[in-house]
Amino acid sequence: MNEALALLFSPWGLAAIVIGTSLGVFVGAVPGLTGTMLIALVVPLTLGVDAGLSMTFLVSIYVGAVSGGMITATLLRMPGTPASIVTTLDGYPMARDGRPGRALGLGIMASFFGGLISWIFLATLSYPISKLATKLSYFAYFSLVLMALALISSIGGKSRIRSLFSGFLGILIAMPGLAPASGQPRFTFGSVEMNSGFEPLPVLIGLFAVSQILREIINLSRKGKPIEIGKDSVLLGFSDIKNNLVNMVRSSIVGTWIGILPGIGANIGSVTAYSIAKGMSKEKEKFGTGHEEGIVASESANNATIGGSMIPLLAMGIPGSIVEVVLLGALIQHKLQPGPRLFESSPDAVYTIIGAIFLANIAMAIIMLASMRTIAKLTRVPRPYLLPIILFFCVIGSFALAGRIFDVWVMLGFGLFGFILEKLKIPLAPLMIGFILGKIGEKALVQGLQASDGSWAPLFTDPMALLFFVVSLVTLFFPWIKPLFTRSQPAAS
Amino acid sequence: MKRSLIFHILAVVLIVALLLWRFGVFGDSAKLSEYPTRAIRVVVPYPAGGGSDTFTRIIERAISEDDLLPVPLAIQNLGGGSGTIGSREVVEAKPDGYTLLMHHNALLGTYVDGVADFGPDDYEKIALTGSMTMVIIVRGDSKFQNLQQLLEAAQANPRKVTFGANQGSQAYFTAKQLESQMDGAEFAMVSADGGADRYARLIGGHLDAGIFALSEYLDFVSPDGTPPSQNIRVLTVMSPERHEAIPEAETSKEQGYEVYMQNIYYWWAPKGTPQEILDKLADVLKKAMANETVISELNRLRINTEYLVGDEMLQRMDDTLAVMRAATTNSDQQAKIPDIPFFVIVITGLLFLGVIIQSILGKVPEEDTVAADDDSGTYPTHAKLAAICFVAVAIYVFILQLKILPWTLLSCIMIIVVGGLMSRWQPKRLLIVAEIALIVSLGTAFLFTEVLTNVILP
Repeated sequence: MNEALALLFSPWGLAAIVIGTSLGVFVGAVPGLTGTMLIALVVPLTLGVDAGLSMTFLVSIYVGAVSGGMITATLLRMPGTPASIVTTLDGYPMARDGRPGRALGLGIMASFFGGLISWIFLATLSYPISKLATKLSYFAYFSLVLMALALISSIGGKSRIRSLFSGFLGILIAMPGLAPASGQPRFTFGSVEMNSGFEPLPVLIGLFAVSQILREIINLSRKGKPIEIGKDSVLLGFSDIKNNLVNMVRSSIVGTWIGILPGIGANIGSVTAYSIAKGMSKEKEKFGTGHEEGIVASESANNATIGGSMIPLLAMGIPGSIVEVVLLGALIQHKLQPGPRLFESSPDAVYTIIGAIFLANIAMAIIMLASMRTIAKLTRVPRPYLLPIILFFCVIGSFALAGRIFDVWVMLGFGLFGFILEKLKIPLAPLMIGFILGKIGEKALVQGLQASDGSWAPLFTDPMALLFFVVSLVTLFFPWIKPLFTRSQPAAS
Repeated sequence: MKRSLIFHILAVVLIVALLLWRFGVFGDSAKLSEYPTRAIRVVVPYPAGGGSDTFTRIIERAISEDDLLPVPLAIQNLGGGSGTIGSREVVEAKPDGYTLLMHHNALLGTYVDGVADFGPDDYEKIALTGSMTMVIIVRGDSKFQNLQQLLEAAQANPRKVTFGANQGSQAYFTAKQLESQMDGAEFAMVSADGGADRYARLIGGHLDAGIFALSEYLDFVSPDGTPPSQNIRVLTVMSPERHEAIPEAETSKEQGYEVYMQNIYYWWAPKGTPQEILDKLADVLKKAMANETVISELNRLRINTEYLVGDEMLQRMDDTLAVMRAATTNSDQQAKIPDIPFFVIVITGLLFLGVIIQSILGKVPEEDTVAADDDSGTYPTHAKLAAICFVAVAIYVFILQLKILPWTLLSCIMIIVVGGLMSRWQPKRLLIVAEIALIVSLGTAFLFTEVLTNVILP
């Protein structure tokens, strides 16, 4: 614990937090740049840096990026990140009505609050959950992965079948390499470089950075109508906290829970919390017209997903969202294998990460309050200056990972592939999650079958395995099951 | 206007400073003329954090601290497939001394078992640098007290006692060798990743036994007083003699089975690497093994410090191979695993059909259109420009692969071209793009050659 504090409060530690959070807020605010993109590009470059310091920097970017999106969502009606899509619904109308300062002030307060509540869950729950995780059998792990896949397909997109297809495409892409059971190569087409399959990071940089840049180039002429931050006060009174307390606590808990569920992240968290807040509000009709509750719900929930999604990452090595996929890779690169061992063998690393999230939240609130005018201007940096640099770092980042030009081609290939998929309206997030979970799930299944001598019985006799399996089936077939329960009240919605 | 002038002045100053650095005005940048002139890549075929990785990094630190090589060793973890992914990479690498492999006995195991179609003969051997005592571990409250009981259980209920070992790994052979000591004894062999994974499975009760390196055991064992159900215990030390670190643990010999296992670290180079390079590297390793820190670190990790080259090294290798070959005569049956890729392909195909049908029926979901709608108005799109930029980057990567131009220059050109394309070659913008290109490419080169030296650049 002391070592972690010493690191976090050392000049390097504080610099990592402040710079990381600022960078995060910036990429979060610029439409088209996301925290995932930046973190994926930074990870290969932190290889030579101390593990604690690297992770501090990375989680600070994460916290900043989820928060920064609301600036442009409110002022330009262009959400900087998907996590802030819902914030535009009320943030922009409120800003247009001449209260941009108040809209941002509320958003910052809610973000800070959401971050803190989920941080409390992270700090208290991750160790017990990691202990619990060792009790999970191979088949329980396998059906946990199934459940995660079912969840992304049902919550993560507009069309169930498209999300599911995307998820399975991800699993398929994870297949090349050596088979986990026999160690024999499969789908490598005789290429030696394919023996390790596709590395997650180049795939991720391609899918989420390159394809996004292509879209940005296509929309080069798009401009948002900026609203200048006026004279209205950003600062809030005590009554604002009191009035929004219930909403903030509720939305933060929703966000944390969505975060814990593997595979879905900040954008789903904010949408869910927003609709719950709307459903429970006395002034439903005001939502979408510049209503304070809307901003608060969305922003506290999207920040709350951070703490939530770090829990399965640290406790079980299962990524809670796309960003955690990258953080998982970063942890392993720095010899920090998530799981119960992590808490016992490198407690300082865990304390550092958890502490960094706390400090980054504070830094985020201060940076946002102090510099939102500047950031709002900075987001208008002309794209021709910004995009080539990002492309350059896409190449360098993919190469630096293992020193193979092969990975760079993989990155470019997936950039194009991701772009085409989006054109076909197939969401990319399930693909990436499927890609990561596919490997984890297949290995768990193979191990389970090896242990049971080829029998599938444990899937039904192990209570946890059965529970997860049933939940995944229900989630998957919910739209067809639902009518059976709601027949009595037709046309309810 | 004033602000942009300041920007230009700052940019030019920075560029000049970086150019001066690049062309060696500061300090010595004497070109190295003989091997090695650039970073040497050492492939560790296991994920970072495992025993092999830790070992390699201890040696690497000594080499860089004592300046035994003028260039850095860049360690690359290529885990997976029981170590075959990383080792195969080195078989195929150029025999120029810039790609090496640090791998232990598992390389022999995957060869003997047929998991890999290459073996020790496909490499040049540099040196043997250390060995590890191995122990069989069970959970603290396990009913097994010795090898006899473990094997009897495997005999009474064949393929019910779970044993963590990847197919083709040395642990796997040792387990097979143990099975052959008692008629009809058969373990259920479960693939397991690294020590951390096996530990978690043992603690959770999903594995009955597993083989660990002594160093892993000492690392994982919880302090005295931990309830046995949450701790691990040594069942047997797989050597003829007890180890001073755990004097109370019985050896396999004492328990009546002459089955031994020791893991040995070797350094390998691609077949055809010139002898003088091998000698030079062997010499570097010899000096590294004599480094005080290496000796104390290896003692701490309970790795026996050894250094062998030439025939003595080959003799040790042949001994291990002989033991492994003897164990493979044992019958070998794997649990029935379904053809997972086949099912994934079928399901993906069916879902794809579903997507097509959905598209034909016109039930395509709406996009999230919050970002771009009435307020932004309509604007022209630039699909062609995006395609040209993408092709430009692809050409950049292709030339990078050919290595005919220095990457800083090439990167600079790429940024100018792509940035220029996007700004439609407006002179005013082009100037800024060029400044950015110089700063970014030279700055990156500076950052990763002077500050963060672990990063491999093209």
